[in-house]
Amino acid sequence: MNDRKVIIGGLVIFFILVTFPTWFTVATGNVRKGQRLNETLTEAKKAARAKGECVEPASTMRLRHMELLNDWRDQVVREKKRIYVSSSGRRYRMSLSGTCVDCHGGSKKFCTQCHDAVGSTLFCWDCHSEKGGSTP
Amino acid sequence: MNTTRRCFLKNAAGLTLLGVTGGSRLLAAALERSSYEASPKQLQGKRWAMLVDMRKCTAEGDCKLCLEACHGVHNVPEMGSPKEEIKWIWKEPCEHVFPEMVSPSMTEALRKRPTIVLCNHCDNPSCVRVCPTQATWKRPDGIVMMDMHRCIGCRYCIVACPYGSRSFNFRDPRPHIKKINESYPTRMRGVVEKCNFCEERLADGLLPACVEACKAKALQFGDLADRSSQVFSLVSATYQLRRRTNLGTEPQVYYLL
Ligand code: HEC
Ligand code: HEC
Ligand code: HEC
Repeated sequence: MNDRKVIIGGLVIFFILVTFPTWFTVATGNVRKGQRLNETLTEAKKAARAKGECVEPASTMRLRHMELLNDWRDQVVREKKRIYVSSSGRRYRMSLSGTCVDCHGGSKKFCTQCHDAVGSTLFCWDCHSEKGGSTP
Repeated sequence: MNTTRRCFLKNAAGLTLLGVTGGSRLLAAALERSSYEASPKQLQGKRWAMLVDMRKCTAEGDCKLCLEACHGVHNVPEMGSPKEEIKWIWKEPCEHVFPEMVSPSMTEALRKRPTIVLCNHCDNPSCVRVCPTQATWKRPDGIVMMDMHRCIGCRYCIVACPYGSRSFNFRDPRPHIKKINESYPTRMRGVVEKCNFCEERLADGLLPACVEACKAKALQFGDLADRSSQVFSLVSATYQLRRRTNLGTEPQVYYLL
């Protein structure tokens, strides 16, 4: 049982390392940031809800919107198809700016908020309109 | 003892697998039940082609209706220098468009006569053959498309195109666009672009913007495979010119001079 100190010491270090993300977030005040993000997103979603439902259920969108957008892009540009029939049978014109961004009230109010927080930068706006606005 | 442990491990692995795949399946299911449709207004064609009637065209004056219409809907910038110019549809002196047609005895005016040029949407496009990422390809209806998302900016296609129909974005084009049309994407630094025969307008049942804008009716657009189309009746019953047919690219923009 001479290794007791080493084992316990190791465990303590291990515990500190494993919980690092949690207490580091708390210590740097990022919890507040997360809460604020949640609030802005809730606000944005409330505004969007007034215009209609998302193309797919929110849980699916949260996990797979990037996949959906890839499909939209390939269907429009490469397959000559422009209408999306959602899983619940609703029809949408497939347009990043004209549909997604338009309903969500501008990419800066929605997409960019969350993407900044998760550290992912979208280059879509180099070409696609951030305002949405005029649907063709 | 041995068998029970084995059983336990098997069951545990099975359950884990079920949990992992089942769970994600459940959340993922929605997208698998969706589908895609063509726009109901989509104009259908088997071989889209354009006829430029230079006998009617008023490009010699300062008419720029077709150029302005195209550049307006597609956010084509005005870069200000010939080297960085972005070209979809533009005016070119006749001696550059049809070098084999001019002779030294022609008047200067005739040799330099501005002629409307655009991507020829060739039946045998050399740009498509050289593209390493399939960012450019020929659609079944004949349109030579660009997928801006796949373009890596290698510019092989620019070298391959004998008509100079492709342009490279050396700089961010956005500051050089007079008024951005928010419903069509701009381009960014590092991609190649060109005329797309207004494929996004065909999807909405509209003719190309240049054709629609031309007051002189010098531009005709239609399906060459459709024997009842205007373009077919004109192309089949008159002598017309195409650019550099000796190269075998089979251009699909026809000229009446
Ligand atoms: C007609 C309006 C509308 C359109 C069009 C629309 N959305 Fe949504 N979207 C919503 C609403 C409303 C919610 C919130 C749903 C909820 O919370 O129940 C939402 C939720 C989301 C979420 C989840 C956000 C979160 O924090 O939970 C994402 C991601 C998303 N949308 C992306 C997109 C994308 C990408 C597109 C285009 C493919 C799109 N939306 C098109 C209205 C829309
Ligand atoms: C609730 C948070 C959230 C919202 C809101 C959100 N995204 Fe995302 N998005 C993510 C996350 C997380 C990823 C994954 C990032 C990664 O893997 O690097 C992602 C990935 C993507 C990707 C793929 C990224 C890449 O680099 O290939 C695209 C495209 C995308 N989102 C577009 C959008 C658009 C457009 C909107 C607004 C309509 C939007 N997102 C709104 C969280 C969000
Ligand atoms: C270099 C410019 C460029 C960039 C960058 C770009 N796109 Fe596109 N995108 C286009 C063009 C051009 C079209 C064709 C529009 C049409 O035919 O109506 C298009 C079409 C699309 C479409 C289908 C139609 C539409 O208008 O929305 C989707 C969806 C799409 N892009 C998603 C994306 C996403 C997501 C990103 C970022 C990850 C992105 N694009 C980045 C230029 C670009």
